[in-house]
Parts: sequence; structure tokens; C-alpha cells
Amino acid sequence: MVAVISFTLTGVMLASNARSQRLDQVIISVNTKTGSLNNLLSELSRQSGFNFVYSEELGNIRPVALEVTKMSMDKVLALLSKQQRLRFEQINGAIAVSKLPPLAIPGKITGKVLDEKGEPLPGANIKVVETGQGLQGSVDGSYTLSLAPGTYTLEFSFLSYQTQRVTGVVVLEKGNTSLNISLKPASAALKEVVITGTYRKASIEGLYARQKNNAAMSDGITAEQISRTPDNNTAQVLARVSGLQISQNKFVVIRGMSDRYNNVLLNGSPLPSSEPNRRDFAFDVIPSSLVDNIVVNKTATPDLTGEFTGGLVQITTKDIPDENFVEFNIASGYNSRSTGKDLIGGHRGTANYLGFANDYQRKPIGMTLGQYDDLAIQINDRTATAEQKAQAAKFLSTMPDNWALRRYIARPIQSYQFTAAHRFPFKDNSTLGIVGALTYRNEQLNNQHDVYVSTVRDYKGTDYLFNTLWGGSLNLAYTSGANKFTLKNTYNRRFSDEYFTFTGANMGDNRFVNNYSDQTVINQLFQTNFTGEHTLSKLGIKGDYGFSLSTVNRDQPFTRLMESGRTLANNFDPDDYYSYNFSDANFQYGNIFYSELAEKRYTWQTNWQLPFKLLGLGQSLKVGYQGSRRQADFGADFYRIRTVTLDGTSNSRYDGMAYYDVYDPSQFANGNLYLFTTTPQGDGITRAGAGTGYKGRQNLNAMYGMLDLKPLKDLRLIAGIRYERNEQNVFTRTRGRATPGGVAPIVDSLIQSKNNDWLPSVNAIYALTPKMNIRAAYYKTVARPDFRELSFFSYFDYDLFVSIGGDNLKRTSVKNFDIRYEFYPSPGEILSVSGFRKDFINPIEVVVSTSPTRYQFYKNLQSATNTGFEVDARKSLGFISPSSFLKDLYLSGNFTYINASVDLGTAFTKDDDGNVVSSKRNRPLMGQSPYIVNAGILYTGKHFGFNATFNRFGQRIVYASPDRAEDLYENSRNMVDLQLSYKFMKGNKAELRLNVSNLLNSELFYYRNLFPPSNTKFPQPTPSVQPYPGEGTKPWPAEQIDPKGTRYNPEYDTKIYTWKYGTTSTLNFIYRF
Amino acid sequence: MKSNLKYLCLFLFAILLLGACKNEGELIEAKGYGVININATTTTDIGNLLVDIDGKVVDTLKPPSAVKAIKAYTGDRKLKIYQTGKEGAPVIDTLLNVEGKDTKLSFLYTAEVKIIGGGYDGSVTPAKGNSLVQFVNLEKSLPASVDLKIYELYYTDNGDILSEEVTTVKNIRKDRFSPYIELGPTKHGDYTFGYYFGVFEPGTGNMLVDVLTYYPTIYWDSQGSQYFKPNKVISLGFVYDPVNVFYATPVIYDTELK
Repeated sequence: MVAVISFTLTGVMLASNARSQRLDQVIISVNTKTGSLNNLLSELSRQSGFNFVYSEELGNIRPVALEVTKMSMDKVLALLSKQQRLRFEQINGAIAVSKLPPLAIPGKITGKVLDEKGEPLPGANIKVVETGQGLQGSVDGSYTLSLAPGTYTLEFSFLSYQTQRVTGVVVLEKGNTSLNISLKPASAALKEVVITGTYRKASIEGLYARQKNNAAMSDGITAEQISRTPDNNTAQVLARVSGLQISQNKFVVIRGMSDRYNNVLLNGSPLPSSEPNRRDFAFDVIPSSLVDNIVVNKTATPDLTGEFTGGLVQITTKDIPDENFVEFNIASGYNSRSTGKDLIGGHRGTANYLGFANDYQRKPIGMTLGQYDDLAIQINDRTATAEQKAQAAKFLSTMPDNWALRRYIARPIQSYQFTAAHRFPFKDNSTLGIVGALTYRNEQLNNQHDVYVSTVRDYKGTDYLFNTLWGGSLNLAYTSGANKFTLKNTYNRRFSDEYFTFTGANMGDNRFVNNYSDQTVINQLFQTNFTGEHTLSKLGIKGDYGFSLSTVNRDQPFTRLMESGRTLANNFDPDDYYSYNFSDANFQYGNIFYSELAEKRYTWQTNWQLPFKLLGLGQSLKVGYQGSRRQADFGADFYRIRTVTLDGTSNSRYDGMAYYDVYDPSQFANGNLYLFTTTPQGDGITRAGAGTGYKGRQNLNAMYGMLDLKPLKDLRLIAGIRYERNEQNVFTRTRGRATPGGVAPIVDSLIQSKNNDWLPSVNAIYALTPKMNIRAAYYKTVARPDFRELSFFSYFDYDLFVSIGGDNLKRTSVKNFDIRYEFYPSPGEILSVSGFRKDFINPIEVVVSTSPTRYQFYKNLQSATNTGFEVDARKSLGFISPSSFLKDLYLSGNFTYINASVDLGTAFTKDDDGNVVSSKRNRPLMGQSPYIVNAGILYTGKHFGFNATFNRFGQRIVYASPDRAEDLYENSRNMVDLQLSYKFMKGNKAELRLNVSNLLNSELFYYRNLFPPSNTKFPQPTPSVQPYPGEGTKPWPAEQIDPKGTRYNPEYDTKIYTWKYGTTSTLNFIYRF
Repeated sequence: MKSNLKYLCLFLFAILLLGACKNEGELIEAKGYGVININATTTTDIGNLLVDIDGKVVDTLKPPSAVKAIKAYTGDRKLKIYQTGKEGAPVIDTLLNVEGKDTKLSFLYTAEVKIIGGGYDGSVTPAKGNSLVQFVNLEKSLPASVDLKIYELYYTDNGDILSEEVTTVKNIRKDRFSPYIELGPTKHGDYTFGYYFGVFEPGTGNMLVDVLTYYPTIYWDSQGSQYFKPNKVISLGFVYDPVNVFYATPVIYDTELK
């Protein structure tokens, strides 16, 4: 009998004919660096007397390096074993040498344990049958198992739920196997039953549970689904969610509704707007690898904010990652209109590339603008002393000399992204997770931008945009048993500089103009969010609480309009001989605008869920409280550039001069020019140091209670009520009542709004089959006006040449009714048909008033109604050939149709001539489209990926008017985006990705239903739709009515604003460590 | 190795970021205009003069006197003024620095004389409230030297026009300006027409140009103001205008004293 003993473990051996059979007694000295194993073993045999037995192939291994001096033979062999993955077995005086298998690197199984409604089951028990290894899921139902490669059976159990065994769970080396499991409640009779199923069946059921059992009608995407797409930022991910569209590659449009009726939560907290004049957020700043899931709720439940009607986008970023990774993404892009071509701007410098303003983009210094306003009022009134004039001139002389235009060459778009994630598992089964990301993007673009307003202006122009955006996120999370704490932080900064240069005719004053405007905006957004989640008992009572702080800072330091022109006709001057007008108060002849906003929002909330059994079925009660306090301080100063001395030479002294010698700090320093305002310094009503603006304060407290009931096995009812108390106070300044013959004074105003809203909601889900649901929902929501809309501050839009003012607005109440049939053929696939109706009371629109002067302002209408349907489908072509590439090829489509009407209310029942007209219009509300079409094709293979999307929405109103011919419409257009990706290198660690957006380069334009100049029958701007339709109004002649109605018809309608953006192609290189 | 690769990527990222930051663009020059005020005095036999700026004819100066405000880009401009068809032999060919709205160019060009620029040199100063006047004879048909008698013309309540001799200026030549004479305000208040002059043959005293026939007027600015202006220095020519059948008196130089 031959005994074989592994010496490396025990050191035990048998006698042989060697000099000594004890390996620890044989001393060896060897020094080899490049030899083969054959050479080394020969040397060891020579020194020890042992014979080595091994295959020829093994002997050829080289190089084998070993340098030992007087070391025992057992240690030498142990060293060699470790170095070369060799196994040595002593058999008497011989040693057999064989190759050890390569070291196996463990893989992971990650997922969530859910109940039958798709809700997480906190603290569920997970056991690996083969190894006996066990752990408890975390408070959010998630779990991670680290196992050696192999095939395992997992057992999931939770009190009152049937234990489920999943067989055939394959763990690959370094791989991550995803398994979400849905447990079924245990009835008394089935208490001890263990359900056994395969991995495929269980994972499909897990996916269904999440997809199909959401309490509200919703769509969404998970991190696992995102990882299979080629998307690299959240905006691209959102485009994949049914019913969502992405505009300008970053803003989200939900179900065709304007931003007023949508809401966004980031990690459960309201996201402040990143944009100056819209409730919107630029989603391209959040890397997709940071996103854990996105859910878009299309109906409300009481635990959700009451402030959405179209949709609520809930983005949750990762906290404890499934695996550790470091990822870089470097991208460069080409825009067909811009890259390599002229980019016009002012002084730039390195600061702009880093997202900061430079010294040429700032306010004048030496006093506040508010203090200057008081001096300017006296200069206006001719009561300023010489000393006051000198003070004003000194202050204005510090304005930056940044009027001269400079030519740059537009650089390629550049974008960098760095994401890192690490999990630290501890011995007590607790885990700490850290996820961080940094992003940077710079784009330099030029867009065509033309303006034509019948009989007023006809400009051809170009927008030159320089944008820098950077941001970071840092998320920390700690989970231990039934407790989890997270701290999530997001910061982003956007620098945007837009020069709009234009030339053309001002028909009103017979002037040819050669102008530009520049808008510099620096936007900062920060959000920090702390949450705690706990499961209190084995009964599964779940509680969570959270606090968050969001801040927004927006600075517009030196926005301005430069105007120069010449007489349009009968002019004997050279074509480039320009004159200037500084003698009157008309802001369109040159102005400067400054503004600053600082906004803070604190939110706090807690939610508690108590599960209980009734009728042998799982039910739950959820109650909660959410509060927020928001404060915004906004200051603005809008100035007309004007001459100090109004005499015969006020304007003519600048005739023929180069514009940058006229608009020059020296002209302010020498006392010729000053900044004209009619508003004195604010007295605490506005942000300190400003002339106008507002201070807004909002306290919102909400409480809710909801029951999630299963009266029948296949019927689920989620019903409850939410109470919201909202207090909004806006301190603002407006013109008061004028004394007879006098000028209306500036007076302080307080706009106050206090509302108690009871928002009931009922969602019913009936499961026709395991793959089909019928849903019905009723819920009430609100849309509250923003501070700016409530204030009387009027904002001048430099792109559209309009001023938009606020008003004392009421909130909008919306009653919503939804019904939906949904069918899930297999995971990731859906077919749904929905019908909906929304009744709006007091909806808000921007209304164009044409009498006595053209003016845009926010206004409550009386009511509006939307009735429509939506069809949504997503299907894999795997059914044609399940084993071919078709299984990874998905087609998706979404169509929404809305039939809408509005009632403008009693304020709009008379036309400009005082005739009584109908206040009802058959049109959607401002910002809504009558239809939306989305279609897409997605292929994701092992290496190659392809994605194409088509999008079209119906014409939508930008600014409305009682006079239908004055409604400003955005035309519908076709948009196609493409994405190609290729993964390569070992483990697909590297990827090249090409994104092409706006492939059709279709023109975006706004139009009015007014005959254009090209029409020979009707002079411009004759209306081509009946301005005041309805009862009591005499119908217009048929030949004057556009047969296409309000849709764009080039023979009947006038393009007012036109933009063309070019096609953008971006090539990304991504490497994941 | 792995961590080295990470640092390499970070380094490349930083290089790309900083390398992309270009500082300043090229200034797009906007051309400003100044005004060249040309005051040309010439004679009908010279004919029209063409004004050429930077190789482009921009205006015409008609005899005997032309006052033009010509818009031209600021900075150094190449200015040529020449008789029609005589581009090769310009009257004026100069580099003019145009600034603001008052770049002045005055010249006198006849068969006998070409004076470019010139004007008041400050060597003589009138009493406060008085003005200085000098003359040059531009009329070919008159003798090389003539005398002038200066009158104040005025009218009476009866409507009669009367002349009152003020002073005599002797030896007015064709090739240079006369010395300045000093004139004070007219004496006849609201009844005055201003100062006029008659031309006489030296030595014989024969009248060559009758003041009450041709009304040669002393103008006090280039816009043709006939009423006395104090604190001015005026250089006048006189030449027969066959078209209007009278004696024109172009203001060749016009200086206002502070």
C-alpha cells in the first residue's frame, strides 16, 4: 500500500530510499530566474535525493524563478506550489507533481425579496442549501450572497409566507446573478409547504411582481435593465420609459403634458428646477450607472405628493452597489451646424470652461444695484446733484468692458464621467456602501434662430451657445439587519452663455437693426438627503423617515441687448453706418438685466406600513406625514441704456461709431450714458440690493392614510386620502394706484395663498390572469403656481422679445379618472391600452393680451377637460426564433391621443371691440399636444447594441390668447435618434458607443394662424382661423378659414420663431475596471 | 497595474480637460465712421472735382464753392481729389487720419493758387466781440490786384436800401490772402443787412464790382450767415458766378474763437 500525504498541510511522510524521508530535514539552496520547471526539479532531485514524477508538458513550464538559501525542502515545495499552482505528493522516495486547477474567484447572487404585491419584504431569510450559508435580507428586501462558482439551490423564507426553494441558480466566476423573488402568503393549510421552482421561473415571477403589481399605474426601469442599454446618462434612460419624451437631450416631457403638471423626486425628495423659467431639471447630469431605478407614476396614491397630473418621475440612485466598480466615460461629439465653425462670444477665459463666470461677466462694483437705483431715479427726474451724477458715473464705469464680439471656433462637444462604487461587507452581516460620480460636459453650439412678427420685425439670426456642466454625487449607505441608513448628496453646476446675433428690419420704426443679446446664467443645485428605514418586528411593520435640503442658486450677472441700426428706406448712408437711440425709455433699443435667485427647501417625512391578514390574504395600512418649507429670494434689475442729457445731440453724437465704442464703460464714466430705471431700491421686499423681484415663502404639510386591501384573491384595492395644507406668501412690488395726473407709485404687496386640500384616491387592480391586469383609478391632484408666477415681476425673454408677468393666481385642482388593460406576455414586454379623463379647475396659462398693449402674463382660466387614450407596447422578437439574435431585439411603441377643451372664463367674454364672445375653445391647454407618437427598436447583444427611436408630438400652444389667431403654437416635427454600441476586451470591459441625436435635423418653429406675407389673397397678418369662435359669433367667410384648422399650413399661417439645431453625433469610450 | 491604469486615466482626463480650455477669441472688428468736412473753393474753369477715398469715388465738389460732410471709416484713409479725367494729377493726394465727426479739409484751388489747409494761425487777435476777415480774389476777369470797400447795407422805414462805408482794404491779390481786417458788430440793429463790399481798381479807383448790383456778401460761416458774428475769423474768396449772375463769396476758412 502506498500512502500519499500532502506535506504542505501536515508535514507527515513515509520512509523512502532518499537521504531522508523527512522533507523538513532536507536543506536546499537554489537560484534560478529563467529556467524551466524541468531544470529546477532536476536540481532539487540532485540536492535532496527525491525523484520527481511529472508529465513532459509540466516540465516545459518556464520561466520558473526561485531563489532560496538553506531552506527546508517542504518550504521550498510550498513556495513553488503557491507560485506555479502545483501540487506535490510524496510517495516514499518519489514526489509526484501535478497541476492544481486555477483559483476560482467567487461570484455573487443579488436581488430583492418581494411580497406578492411587489413590495420589499425586509429581513427575509435566505439560505444556500448546499453550503448551509445563510443571511437575512436588508430592510429594503435586498440581499447579496458571495459564493464560489457553481450551481446552487437557494431557500427563501419569511414569517406568514410560503418558503420557496429555487434550484439551478448558477454562479459564475466574478459574475453577478440577479434574482428577485416574489413570495406568496401562506394560508393556514399550506403553512409547511415549500414551493420549489427553477431559477428561470423564479426570476421571471420576481420581475412580474415588480412590473405588474405596482399600486399605481406606472412604468419604470431598473438598474438591471439600464445595464443592458447603451445609455450613459439619466436623460437617455428616461427616453426608454413609456410615455416619456426627452427634449433638448435633457428635459423630460411626460405624456405630452407641460412641466407644470409633472413632478420629479430624486431619492424621494422634490427636485428643484435647474432652469430659470420652467419647472424642469436637466437629467443629463446624472450618470446612468448611478441610477438604481426610475419609476414614473401615471396615477396617484395617497403616499405620493399631490402635485402631479401628467406623471411623477421618481429617480432613486444607488446606495449599496451590487458589485465594486470604477468606470470612466470619455466622449467627444460633433454637431453638424457648429463644430469647427464660427462661435461668436465675448471674453471667455478658462473660468467658463470650469463653470464659473469670468471678470467680464459680473455686476458693476462699489455699491449695490439697489443703491444705484435711487441715484438713477434722481437722474431721471433731473434732481440729481453733480456729486450724485459723478457717483453714478463712477459706479457704472466699473461695468465690464465685454461688449465687443469675438470669434472662436466651436470645439467638439466633450464629456467626461467617472463613477466608482464600493461595498464593505462586515462580519456581523452589515454592509457599508459608497457610490460616487463626477461628470463634466462642455458644448459649443450655434443654432439658426429667426424671428418674424408680421408688420413688427423680421430678423435672421444665430444663437451661439457655450455651456459647461459639471456635477457630482456621493451616496453613503449602511445596512444592518432590519435597519438601513442612507445619505445621498447631489451637486451640479451649469454655466450657460448664449449670444443671439441678429440683423433685419423693425417694420414699426422703419429701421434696419444689427443687434445682439447675451445671456449668461450660472446655476447651482445641491441636494442632500438622509433617510432611515427600519423593520420593527417579525410582523413586518416598516417605517422610514427622511430629511432633505435642496438649494438652488441662479445668477444672471450681465445680460444685455446691444442695439444699432439705420433707416431702412431713403437712406443715403453706407450700409454699415449705424446710429443709436438712447433718448427714450424703450427697452428694445438697448438694455441690461441682472438677477439673482437663492432658494432653499427643507423637507422631512415619515411613513409607516403595518401589514395584517384579513380573509386569509395579506393587507396593509400605511400612514405618513410629509412636510416642507421653502424660501426663495429673488432680485432683479432691468435697465434701459439712456443718455443723461436729453438735447439735440443725445443720439447723433454716436452716429457712425463702432458699437463697442458706444456701448463702452467710458461712455458711462464720462457721464454721457446711464442706466435708466423707474424702480427705486427694494425695501426688504425683494432680495437685498435689488430694485425688483420677490421673496417667497411656502409651508406645505401633508398627512395621509391608505389601505392596501385584497378583498378577493385577484382583486386589489389601494384607497386612501391625503390632506395637504399649503401656505404660500409672496412679497412683491407692483405699481399702485396713481393719483390724478400722477405716475402710479411702486407699492409693496403681499400675495397670500392658504389652502386645505383633501385629495382622495382609489386604485383598483384586477388580475384577469397571472399575466393580465385591469386597472381603474380615481384621484384628485393639484398644481400650484410658483413664486415667480405669483409675483408681479415681469421677465423679458431675450429669445422671443416678449415680457412675461405674474398675477395673483389660484392653484389648479384636477380630478383624474383612468382605466387600463395591461398584458405582460413575458418579462420586459407589455401591451397596454388606457383611457383617461382629467378635469381641471382654474388651470394656469400664459395669456397674450393685445389690448391696450401686447403683454404676456400668467392667468387662471376657468376650467379645462382632457379626454384621451394611450396605447403602449413593448415586445421582443424572440417569438420568431427564440434561439437567434431576435430574442434580444425589442420593438416598442406608444401612442397617446387627447381630445381637449378649455373655458377661458368670464374675464375673456368680450373681444377687443367689446362684443360678447364665447369663452369656450376646443383646444388643449398650453404645453399639451393633441397626440404623441413614440416608436423604438432596441437590440442588445453580447457585444453589439443598436437603438433607434422615433418621436412626434402634435402642435402645442406656447402662449395662449383669447383671440385664437394670437395663440402661439409650436409646430409638430419628426425626431429620430440613434445609438450604436460595441463592447470589447476581456469581460466586455471596454465599450465604444455612438449616439446620434436629431438625425433628421428638422426645423423647430412657432407659428400663429395669421396669413403670411406670401399669401396674395389676404394681407398679413389677417387671421386664418376665426378669432372668437362659438355661439353668437358670425362665421367667417370659408375662403378665409384654414382647412387644416390650427395645424400649420404654410399658405395660411406665419412662422414667427424658427430654430435649427443640427445633428449631433457623440462617440463615447467607456472602460470599467 | 490596475491602480496604475486608474491613475493614467485620471491623468488623461485632466490633460484633456485643461487642454480644451482656449482663452480668448479674435476680436471681430466693427468699423466706425467719422466725418470728413471738406470745404472746397475753386473756379468754374476748373470744373467739378471728384473725391476718392480708398480708391472709391464717393462725392463730387462743384465750383466755385462746395461744403461737404463725407462719411468715411475712422483711421488712416487715402484721400484723392482730382479734376474729372485728371486722376493722375490730383489736386489733393494725402493720407488722412479720420477721427470723430470733425476731420476738416479746406482747400483753395484756382488756376493761380492752390492752398491746402491753412487758415487762422492765431497771430492776430480781434478785440472781444469783434471778428477778423481776410480776402482772396478768385475771379479771372478781375485784375491781379484790387481794392475793396466794405459797407454796411441797411434799410430805412421807407424801404430804401442804403450803404454806409466802413473801411477800405487795399491790394487784394489772386495768389494769397490779404491781411486780416477787424470788424465790429453792425450799427443799424434790426435794420441791417450785414456787411457787403465793392471792388475797385487800385490807383484809378474805378468801380469794378458794384455793391448794389452784385451784392458780394461777407458771410460769417460756411452755412452762409450774412449777419455779423462776434469772435470769428473768416477767410473769404470772391468770384463771379455766371449761373446765378452774382458774385459768390465762399467761406474758405471758418474759425470760432473761444
